[in-house]
Amino acid sequence: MSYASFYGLEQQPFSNAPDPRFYFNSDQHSQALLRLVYAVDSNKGLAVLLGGIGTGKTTLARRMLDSLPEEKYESSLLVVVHSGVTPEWIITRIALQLGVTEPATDRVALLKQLYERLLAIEESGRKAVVLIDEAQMMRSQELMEEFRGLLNLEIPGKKLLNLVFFGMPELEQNLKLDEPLEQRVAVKFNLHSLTLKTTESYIKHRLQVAGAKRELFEPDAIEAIYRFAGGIPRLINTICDNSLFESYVRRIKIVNADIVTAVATDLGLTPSDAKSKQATVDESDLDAIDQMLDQLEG
Amino acid sequence: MSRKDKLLASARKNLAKRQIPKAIKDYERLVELDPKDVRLRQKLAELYFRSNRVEDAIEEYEAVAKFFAENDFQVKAIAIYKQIQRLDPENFQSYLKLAELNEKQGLVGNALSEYQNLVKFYETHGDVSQAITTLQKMRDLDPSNLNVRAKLVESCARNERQDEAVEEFQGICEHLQEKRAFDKILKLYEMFLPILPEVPAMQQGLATVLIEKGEVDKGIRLVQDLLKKAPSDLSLLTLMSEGYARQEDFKGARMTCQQLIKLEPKNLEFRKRYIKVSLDDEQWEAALLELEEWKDAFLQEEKLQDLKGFYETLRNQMPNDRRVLQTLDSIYALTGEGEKLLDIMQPEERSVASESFDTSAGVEDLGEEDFLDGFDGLAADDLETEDSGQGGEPLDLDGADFLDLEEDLDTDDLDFESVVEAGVDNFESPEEEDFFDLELELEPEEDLSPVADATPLEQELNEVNPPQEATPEVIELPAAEDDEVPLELDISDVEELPDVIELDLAPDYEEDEPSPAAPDIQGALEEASFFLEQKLFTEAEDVCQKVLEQVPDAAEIQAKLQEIRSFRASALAADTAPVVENAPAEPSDGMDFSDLVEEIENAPEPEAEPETEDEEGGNVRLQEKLDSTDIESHYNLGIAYREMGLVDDAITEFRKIKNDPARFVDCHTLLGQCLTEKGEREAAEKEYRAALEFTELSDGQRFNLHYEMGLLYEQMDRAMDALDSFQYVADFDPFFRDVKDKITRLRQQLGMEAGSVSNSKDRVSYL
Repeated sequence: MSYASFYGLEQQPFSNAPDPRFYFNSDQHSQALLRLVYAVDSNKGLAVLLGGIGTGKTTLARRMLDSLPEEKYESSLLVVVHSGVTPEWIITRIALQLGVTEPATDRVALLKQLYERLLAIEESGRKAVVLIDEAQMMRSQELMEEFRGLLNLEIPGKKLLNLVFFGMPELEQNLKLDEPLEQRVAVKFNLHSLTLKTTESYIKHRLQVAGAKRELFEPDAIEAIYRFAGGIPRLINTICDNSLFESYVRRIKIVNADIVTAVATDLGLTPSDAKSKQATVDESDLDAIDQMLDQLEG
Repeated sequence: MSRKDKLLASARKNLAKRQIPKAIKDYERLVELDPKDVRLRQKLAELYFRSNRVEDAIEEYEAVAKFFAENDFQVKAIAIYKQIQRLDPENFQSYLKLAELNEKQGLVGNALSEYQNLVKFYETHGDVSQAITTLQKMRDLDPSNLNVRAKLVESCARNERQDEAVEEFQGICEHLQEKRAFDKILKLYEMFLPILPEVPAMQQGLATVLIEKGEVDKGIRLVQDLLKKAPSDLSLLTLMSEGYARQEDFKGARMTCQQLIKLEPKNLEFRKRYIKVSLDDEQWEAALLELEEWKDAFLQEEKLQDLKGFYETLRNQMPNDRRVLQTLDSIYALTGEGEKLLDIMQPEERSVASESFDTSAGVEDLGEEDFLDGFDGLAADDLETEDSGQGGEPLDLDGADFLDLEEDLDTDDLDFESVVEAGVDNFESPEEEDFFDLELELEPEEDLSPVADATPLEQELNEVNPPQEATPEVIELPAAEDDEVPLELDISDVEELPDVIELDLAPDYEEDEPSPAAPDIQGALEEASFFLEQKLFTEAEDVCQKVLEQVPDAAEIQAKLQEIRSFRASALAADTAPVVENAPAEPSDGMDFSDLVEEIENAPEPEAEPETEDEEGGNVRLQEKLDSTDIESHYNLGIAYREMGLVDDAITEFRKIKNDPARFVDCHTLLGQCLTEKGEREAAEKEYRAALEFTELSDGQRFNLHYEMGLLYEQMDRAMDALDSFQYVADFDPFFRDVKDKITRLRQQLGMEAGSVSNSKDRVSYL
């Protein structure tokens, strides 16, 4: 018996895998989505969403992709999974995702194919949109210049391609590698960690989506989760997931603050740690958290 | 089970089977069994209505409404009568009842609206007397409503009740005169003179307005014509003298005053007027003679200040005149300004003055004792003079004194008739030139301004007083044949057109703007609140923004700004939503009075208070001022209407009070629901959004609003938005109503069930 069935849940409520069913429409996510959709809808060219680890960038990227109807948008999401990406890879993948069936190996020919495809999309009354998640991993000037070149594909008075970068705050430094590109950022939105109130809503939201029929966390427990997670959704998920499991093991029907504290301590979290992680985005810290989360998820 | 229970069960059963006639029979028996149970009767009425038995339905509804009204359930009674009105628009009793009940409930706007319908009903059925009575009720209910009063004038005038028409008309003019809205009064005359052409009071009123407004020539000409018919009319003569004085034709004014004095020698107002214009005309001696003659009488009438003013003027012009000095000396003694005595008289003069008091035969036989005794010994102690022994004699203000005065006047060779005829003054030969000048002013050349440029009223006046005919016999006004004059007033906008003149002036906030160095946050908050109250959102925002420029962290100001934006959003939402008005007025077959009001309101009026503007630039007229009781009444009435299925009426009520903070959220929510019921979904969404903008929204209200929005989005086939709305509620309260089921169903609809594959999956690739 899993803890899900013990608590009458239909599924795991706090998985860190992106799942549109669990999309939590907080005010700031809603505002961010509104602005990003506006940016692509009005052909602004380049929009950027920044946020710390676990603040919901990927979820938002997927939500955005879902909210762009295919009859209006030729849209695609590219997820950068390593930092060795080259300009050729990028342009080829973008071309493929936008519908270029046999991308040429020659860069000039490929660009021509892409341009013709973009024209065809425009003529069909749609807009071409490419979302790039984990964009902070693209760290070379060549890549930034390549994106600038893509944004230059336009017909008089109209851009043919819209790009939306989702990434951690260091993405801003990457953009600075090519100043003209940085200047082309038409919309920029920063995601912050959740407040106590939104943390509570977030937890209830996920439980409700997972089929909870009653409260599973005491109010004190939620406060403790907030203190340890510092309002970072991914950490909230991790603490909640472990707390539910721990309570299940102990056959406790409702998670209390003691269990949360025990779990968070086992995870190596302290309230002060969480706050400092939230307050100062230091790359080494972020890497550490990332590693820890990877281990936990693994 | 009692018989009643059995019948009820049977009725329910029949209703479930949709066997309405049988259910009606059940309810008829139930009502027979318990006629005082109004719920049964109401249900029976509803069933009658469903069976198209309108008369039976009305009979039952009337019984129910009567019960509610008698038992002080006014709002419920109103809702029932409204239903009756819907079923039978010809049922004038329902209008009357609705008007009376609304009036009782303090819902003036609603009452006026119902009375208005009643007026139309009476007019349609030729019952003039009842129409006028109803209009009078409306007037009493809202005396500041120009439309109603003008309609009343029109109705009276058309139905041989001219005295009442004139009285009412004068009432309107007085109201406007207080505001110094002369242009508007002129417009009213323009409208009403044609239907009250032979009423001198109307023409005299017009002349008064013209003179007040500065169109003195026209006013005087009109008075001159009126005086031909009534040469001894004191009010006309007074007006004439006023006109001359305004024109600085002081000779004309003096002669007119002398005529007034002739007619009423004892009238001190006339004498005062005469003295004043004599002084204005620099006829010092004439003024002094009159003053010396009548100073005792002035004192008796406690007009000491007038006397003082006159004598001080004379003293400036006649500094060595003993009469002036002596009288002024006595006046100062009476006013307790003894210190001024030294200023005006040298010691030797003072001695002379004292002597003059001592002598029994004073200068020009105007014994000071008489003067002082005439004041009933009021300040005798203050005087340094000794009693002459004659001071105790009472003043003789009549008889010979007045005869003497008249003789004095006669000797002036004043000829009033000539003034009236030609507006000239020839009583002093040295000023013959002035005489001719004055004559010239009344020559035709004066009125050579092109008729085409004249306003209708000016044209009318030009017709009344053709320039080439200096003294027309009659005032020719436009034909007033009843069947030809297309004057028919329409008061359909009675509620929407309150007296615009009463708009409050918005103070210039910049005057009170805090200095940049130290912004007055409290002051700014108050100021912003004031503007907010006036619905001057831009101004309110400006006040806040200015403070924030200096103190960006001022939390109170930020909150206020938020509040302002919230109200602005709601106002905008409301203004863009279709407006459901009260029963529209039947188009009148004659003049539309709303045009008149519009014309009056649009007339340039420098004195008038400025109109505020709403965010769309339209004029905002003063809304019916509602206190908290009114707000609750409108709110309850809206609820009652909604319960009765009278959605449009409910919307009207909620809209009246939707901007009141106490019912802001409730009203916008209910408006959203009503509009949803009507299928006006975009408008409904705006209402819900407006409510969500409210800063002091409680959790319960917010959940409810999101839930309502979810329902609305479902109707609009916006499944994702509906899911978001329901999900929002569920995130806080997963057990709120049926929100859980809603979410499950929407997820299935959107393909978001567990294990389902997102259709965007193939659009995702990894680098």
